[in-house]
Amino acid sequence: MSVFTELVGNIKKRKNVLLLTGYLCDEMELGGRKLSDFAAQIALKLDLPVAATGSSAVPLKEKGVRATRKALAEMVNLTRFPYWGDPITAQRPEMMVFIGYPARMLKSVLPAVKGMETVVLGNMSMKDATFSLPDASLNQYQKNLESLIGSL
Amino acid sequence: MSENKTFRLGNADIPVGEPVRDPRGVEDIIIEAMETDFQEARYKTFDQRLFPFADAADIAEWDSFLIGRYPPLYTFSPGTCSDCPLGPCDLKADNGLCGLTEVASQARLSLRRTCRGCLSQFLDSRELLNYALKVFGSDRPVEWGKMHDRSDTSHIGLMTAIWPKNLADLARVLSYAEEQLNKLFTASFSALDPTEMEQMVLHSGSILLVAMNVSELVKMNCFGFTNASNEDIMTTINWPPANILGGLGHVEKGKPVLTFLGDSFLTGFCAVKQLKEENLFEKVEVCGIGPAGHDIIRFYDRCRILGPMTQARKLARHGISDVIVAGDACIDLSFLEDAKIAGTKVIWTSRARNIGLPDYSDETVEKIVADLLAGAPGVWVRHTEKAAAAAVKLVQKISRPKNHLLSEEAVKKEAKRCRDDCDRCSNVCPNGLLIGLQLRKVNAEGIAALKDIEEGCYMCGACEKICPEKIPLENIFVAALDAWKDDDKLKMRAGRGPVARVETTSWAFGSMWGNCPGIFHVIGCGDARNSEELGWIAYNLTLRNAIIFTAGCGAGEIGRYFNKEKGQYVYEQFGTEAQLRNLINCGSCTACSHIVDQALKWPRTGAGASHYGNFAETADLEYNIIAPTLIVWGALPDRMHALVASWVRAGMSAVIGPNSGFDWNRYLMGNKWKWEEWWSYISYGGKKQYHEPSPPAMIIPVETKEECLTQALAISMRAVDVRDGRQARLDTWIEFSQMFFQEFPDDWRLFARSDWELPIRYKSRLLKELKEKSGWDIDRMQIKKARHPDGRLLEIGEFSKEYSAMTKAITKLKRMIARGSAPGGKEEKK
Repeated sequence: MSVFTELVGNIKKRKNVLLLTGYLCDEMELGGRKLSDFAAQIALKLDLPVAATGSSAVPLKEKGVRATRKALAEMVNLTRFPYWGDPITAQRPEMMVFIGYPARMLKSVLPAVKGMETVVLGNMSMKDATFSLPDASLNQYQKNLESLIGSL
Repeated sequence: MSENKTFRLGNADIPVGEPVRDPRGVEDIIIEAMETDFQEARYKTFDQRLFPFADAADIAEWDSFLIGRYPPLYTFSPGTCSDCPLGPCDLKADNGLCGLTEVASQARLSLRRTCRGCLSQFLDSRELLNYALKVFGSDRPVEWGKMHDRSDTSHIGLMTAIWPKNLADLARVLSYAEEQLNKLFTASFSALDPTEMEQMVLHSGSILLVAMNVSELVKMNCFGFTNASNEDIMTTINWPPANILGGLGHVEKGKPVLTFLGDSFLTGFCAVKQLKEENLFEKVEVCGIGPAGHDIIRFYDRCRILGPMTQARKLARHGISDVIVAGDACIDLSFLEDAKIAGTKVIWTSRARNIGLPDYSDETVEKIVADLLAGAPGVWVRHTEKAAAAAVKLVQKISRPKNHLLSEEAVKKEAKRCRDDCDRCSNVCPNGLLIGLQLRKVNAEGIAALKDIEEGCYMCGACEKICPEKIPLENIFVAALDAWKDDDKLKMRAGRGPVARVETTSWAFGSMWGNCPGIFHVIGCGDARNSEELGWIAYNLTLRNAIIFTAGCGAGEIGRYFNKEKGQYVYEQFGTEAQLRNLINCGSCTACSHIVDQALKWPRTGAGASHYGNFAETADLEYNIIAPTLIVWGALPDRMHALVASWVRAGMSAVIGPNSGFDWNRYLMGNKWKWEEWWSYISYGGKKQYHEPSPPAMIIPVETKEECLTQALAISMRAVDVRDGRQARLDTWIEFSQMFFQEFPDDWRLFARSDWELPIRYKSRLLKELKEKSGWDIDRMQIKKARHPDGRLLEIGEFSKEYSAMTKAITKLKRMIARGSAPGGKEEKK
């Protein structure tokens, strides 16, 4: 079983998963495709609600994704309180999946996520994440995402 | 003896010890403050107290509210503590040997960072004050300006209760601030209580502004800096004029370039004086990087602003300057090697430390110039006038080759070595720039492919260090900058200095009851990914009738925004009077103190609360009623941490970003979805009043400029917003959200109080949402019943009574509940 199949299996096992999409979704291109294309495919195939941070909401909505504009810090902040309350998910998520953030930004916020698993779909491995894709060039990163999407 | 002294308030003689814990040694200060600015009715109604020369603990009643409602969100933990010889202690496993918890350790780091941020400013303020005392004497009078009176708030008044009259007063004030910083820094290695340390973080912000106040008063009263408070109020709409040019493209070619860099303008002041006296100002281009530039333009409008401190290395490596005169600054981006590469001569003037240059402080000007011309890369000169004279002489004589920049062909050759199986540069870039990706496009698209990443690069050097091919990325970025240097232009106004209360009063009505979405303070350090973003942010808010204040390096960055349709730079498009739809530059980094002080004039104007030694009451009123919102775009230096702390403590919330905002590791945010946590005391009666979560955060980071604008509006709400103000905020918030994200904010309903406040252009859709999503009872265009967050459906009048602070006097401080109005409360003073 490939790491991607295993990862997808883990995500699918969780009842309440929230996808967070960062500003790079709108700014990064991989092989001529916006990163938001990849994010949208993941969201649609897994039927995930999306907290679209930065300016990533519009390109996702245009692809039919259930995206709502949120601030990254707001979502991380909520994880430390017993009361969740945010209408983006009916209950507190069991897992947060991040895509479209620079490595340094995620390194800074991941340690603050409390009480849930974290998955980082970026091109740098993150020691504070429950799972992250491995270090990769952008070319390899594109292939990793394609493999992941192929496993969905 | 203190017990025999009294002050006169109305018809009563009150013992000086009544409002102060220990009046010994400060009796005269208290008497002066009470008799000139306190109001009898307010003093008798509330338990007003004075804290002259306040310690952090004196303001803890207010700070503990802030820290309680917005518990710090730490995003970094070192895991171990090595603060004492007993360590290191593994805090993940257990508390430290001294009892230090992991959270306390994070609070220590937070406090240390703000203290570090204060240090360079304190050094500069002390050096400036000492110089002024030496040259002008301690009796030299100081004043804020002709339009200012004792009621005008300043942080000197708030923290010390002094109304400063001369340099001797400023010496006393600065000694106090230095003592406070010493206490805070000590605590950052020894304190154990995280809440107390976070209170100290806030205190560090306040004392930073005291030091900045001192600097500004010295600058205006001893060195002729612009001060709009001395000008005719009818002229301030366009004063100072938008005539300051900057950017590499505005530096006149063929002239020698003398650049001043860092915090201190003193050498620049002496050099400009000499250039004027010797009629040389047409022959030399004077430029500034960082605060020195923004100070010099307040007395010499021919000075060119090259860029912010964060871009110092790139600008030094570019080599436009023939001579750089530099001292300490907010950030230690060592530029000496860059200047050497460019062949630029350096005169280092800091009295605090050397940067590896020979000490020429006791040499003659002739010797300094001769040795630099003979090949020395730089010298250290700890004598202001001598350094200035040497710089002026040197810049006229220097002749140097300017061939250190890579050609486009050389850049292409280097770019070919970039491997498409790597991209490590992008992952270490603090701004997340896609360096490798763009570099690989250079051969096809030319050097233009690097435009965006060059703008976002401040040459930290991380990319070059990690590159396995040893590609000289820094030289490539500098070559890229040179390629479009002629387009690197900005135009701005010099700082106008402080804003008097009388000017603030004139726009009170318009800002609260007009169609003004708010007052925004827009600052930044120049490290954002795009150099025009700060100007874009300021432009979009000003255009919508907001009142915008700016200062520091960000004021220059705003000047880069050019409105192509109008053919005007943003400062040319808007006036500079403190009025709606105006963009007001107060000055350099130290002038940030004017912005905060100006905002804190409201409690005096609106509620009659004197500010002298009275921080908590002032901040409480500010927070509840009309606190402006701070936007920090480019937040790299530690000084910004302390600055933002000063804003937050004064009741104002802050949006920070873009990428450097996520390196702060500490934010102040509440849980807006838990309604039970959002309440105040009613000032008359002491009842607990629940209301909307306004503002939901005090410090929040965001990623993009669009998100920044939207979030700034979201945190601009205040519980006591008047109807028109709330409507204008909602209107602009929703407009931004629609424009950038094609949706209504999903939390706008948290701020709905009545149909009168819903923006006209969205009203029917908003009412529909209230009905369908929140179950409110809507009859055509009117709200009949509103849903209390506890689930009850209430008549709208009942809803306002139970869940709104509109038109109510509220407070977060128990002693600001009116005497005798609460059961068991204190009786009114006789």
